[in-house]
Amino acid sequence: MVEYAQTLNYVSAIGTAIMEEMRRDERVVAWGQDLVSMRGTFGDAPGMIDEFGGDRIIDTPIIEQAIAQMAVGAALAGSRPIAYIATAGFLSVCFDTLFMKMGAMRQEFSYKGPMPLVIFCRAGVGGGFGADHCTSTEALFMHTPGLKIVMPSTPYDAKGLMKAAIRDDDPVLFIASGPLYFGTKQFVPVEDYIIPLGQADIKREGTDITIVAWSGMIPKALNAAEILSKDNINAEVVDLRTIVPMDIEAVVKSAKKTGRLLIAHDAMKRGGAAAEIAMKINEVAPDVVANLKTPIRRLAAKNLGLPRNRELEAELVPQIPDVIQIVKEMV
Amino acid sequence: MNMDIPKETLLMLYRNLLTARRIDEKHYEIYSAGGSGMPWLHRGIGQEAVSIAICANLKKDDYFKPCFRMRFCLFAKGLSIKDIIASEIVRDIIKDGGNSFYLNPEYGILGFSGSGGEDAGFYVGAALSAKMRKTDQITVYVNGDGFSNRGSVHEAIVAAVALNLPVVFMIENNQYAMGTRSQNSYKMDDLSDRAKGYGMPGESVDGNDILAIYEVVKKHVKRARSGGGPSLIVAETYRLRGHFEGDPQIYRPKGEVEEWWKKDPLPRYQKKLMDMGLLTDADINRIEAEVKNEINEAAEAALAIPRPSYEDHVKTVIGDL
Ligand SMILES: Cc1ncc(C[n+]2csc(CCOP(=O)(O)OP(=O)(O)O)c2C)c(N)n1
Ligand SMILES: [Mg+2]
Repeated sequence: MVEYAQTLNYVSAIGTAIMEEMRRDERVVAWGQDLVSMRGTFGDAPGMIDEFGGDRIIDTPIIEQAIAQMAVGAALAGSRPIAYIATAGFLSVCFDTLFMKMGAMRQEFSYKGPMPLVIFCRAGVGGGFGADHCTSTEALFMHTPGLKIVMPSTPYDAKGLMKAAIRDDDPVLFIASGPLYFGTKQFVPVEDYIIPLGQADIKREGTDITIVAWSGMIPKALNAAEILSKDNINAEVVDLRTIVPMDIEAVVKSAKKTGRLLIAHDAMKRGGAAAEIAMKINEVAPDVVANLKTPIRRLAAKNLGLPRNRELEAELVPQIPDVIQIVKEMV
Repeated sequence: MNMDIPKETLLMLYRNLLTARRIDEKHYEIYSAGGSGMPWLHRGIGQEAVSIAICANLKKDDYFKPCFRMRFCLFAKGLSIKDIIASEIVRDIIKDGGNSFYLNPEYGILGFSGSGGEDAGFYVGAALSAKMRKTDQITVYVNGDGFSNRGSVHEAIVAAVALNLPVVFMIENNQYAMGTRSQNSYKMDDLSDRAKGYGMPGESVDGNDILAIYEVVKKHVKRARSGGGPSLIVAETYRLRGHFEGDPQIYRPKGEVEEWWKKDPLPRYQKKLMDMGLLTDADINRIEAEVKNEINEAAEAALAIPRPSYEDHVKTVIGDL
C-alpha cells in the first residue's frame, strides 16, 4: 500500500476516502468525465489512478444523463458506483434521474432492496464562472424523498462522510464545496473512520446565537464568529454536514441554549433549505421557538441567477460582513 | 473549385481569419496580464477557419451557435469586436450602448449554455419558428466533439429530422474534449457516419482548410434554406492549446501539437492566396496593420468600460430578492 500524508486538503481527503473504499470493497467503482485522463478530480490521492484507472475508475464521454442513469442500474445490479457530475448546476441536466428515480423510484415500485450509489459534484462561487458552474442546488434535491444529501465543510468531515456515503445503501448526493477544495489543510487520520450521515457537528461553541450552516458557509460563519467575539457576541456555529437526513435535534438543542437562531446558506433564499429548517424546528420544538429572544432569521443568496462576474457574485452570495451584520441585528 | 468564389469573398475570408486569430491572441494578452475580470480562457487558436467560413454563408438574422471556445468569431456575423472583447472581460456593454453578445436574437444568438449542449433545442426551436413564420432563416448549430455526445443534442437532432427543419448541425472535432480524445468517445473513423443513424446526410471536411469548409457549408446551407431539411457536417481540426489556459495537458502524446501547428489554417490560406496571385507581401502587411489597429482600438475601448453594477444586475429579478 502507498503511504500518504495525513495532512490533507479538502479534495484530497475526498479522493483518499474513495481510494480507501475501493481497496476495501471491490464493488466500489467510479465513472465520469476525465477522471483518468486529467487525474485531478480526486485531488492527489497518491497512486489512485495508477491503481484503479481504466479498470474501476472509468472515463466517459460528456453524457451526464447516462452517467447518472448508469449509476442507478449498476447499483441495482450489485455494484456500488460513484458517478461524477462536475457541478451541482449540471445536475439539472439529469434531473429526472436524480429526482424521480433515485429519489422516488423504489417507493413507487415498493422495492425494499438497496440502491447504493453516490453522485459526486461540487458547488460554490468564487471564480465568476456563472450559474451552471457555481449555483448551489441542494434545495432542489431536498424536495425528493429518497435522496440523502451530504455537504461537508472540512477535510476531516469530507473523508468520513464520503466513506459513509459509499457504504450507505441509499442513493447519496455528495455536494463538495469547490471554493474549499484547496483551502485549509487538516490532520486527517490514516485509519478508517466514518461520520454517520445525519449527525451535525458543533464547529464553535457559543452562548448568544446559533448559526446553522453547512459546506462553504461554515468558514464564513466561523470567521464572522471570531470577529463578533471581539464585541462580546459569542456565536455557536452548528455544521449540519448532511441536510438529508437532518439532525434537527442538534439545532433545537443549540437554539434552546443560545435563544437565537440564524440559518445561513450559499444557495438562493426562495425555497431554500433555511425555510425547511425553520419550519421543522417549529414543528418539533414549538416551545423552544416560543422562547426565542428574537425571531428566527435566514441569510441566503439573492434570488438571482449567478452572473459570470466575480465581483457581482460576492454581492449576491452572503459573505463574512453579511453574517456579522445580521447577527448584530439579532443580538 | 475555388475559382467559383469571387475574389472579394476570398479576401474577406482572409481578413476575417486573420482578425479571428488576432482577437484570440488579444484575449490571451489581456488574460495573461491579469485583473481584467476574465474568469478563465478557453482559446480557439487554430480552429478559426470553421466559424469564419460558416459566418460567410449566413445572414445577420440566421441562427448560429459556434463551438463555445470560438464564439469570438461572431464578429464575422456583424457583432462589434469591442462588444465581444468587453463581454469576455465582463464589462457592461449594454450601458455602454453596445449590443448584447451572449444572448441576442437579433443576431441569431440564443445564449451559450454553460452546461454544454443544453442549448441545442433552443436553436432547433428557432428553426421551427422560422419555418412557421415562413422566413428563410436557418440555423447552424455547432458543438465540439465532446458536447455533441450530450443527450440534449441527440433529441434536438431527432426533432429537426422529424420536423424537417432548416438546421445544419456541425461537429467541430478538435480531437479533445478536455482530456478525453474524441476517438475514445466515437469509435469510428468518420464521425459524419453518425448522420446516417438519424436519417440525414452527413459529410466530413478538413477543418483547417477554409475554402473546403466554405464550400461544404455553402452546399448544406443552401439545402437547408430551400427546405431540404437538416444535415451534419464534421470539421476535423485540432485544439492547439490546453482545454483552458493553465491546463497541464498530461493527456497529450508528445509531438502531436507540433504536427498540427504545421496544418495551421492561417499561413495555409495565406500561401494559397499568394499562389493564386490574389495577395502580395505588401497586401499582407497592410491588412495585418489594419486588423491589428482595429483590434487594439476595440480592446482599449472595451477595457475602459466599467463592470456591470449590482444595481443593474438586480433589475432582472422576478419577485423579491
Ligand atoms: C453538461 C456539461 N458537462 C461538462 C462540462 C464541462 N466541460 C466544459 S468544456 C468541456 C469539453 C468540451 O469538449 P468539446 O465539446 O469537444 O469542445 P472543446 O473544448 O474541444 O472546444 C467539458 C467537459 C460542461 N460545461 N457542461
Ligand atoms: Mg473538442
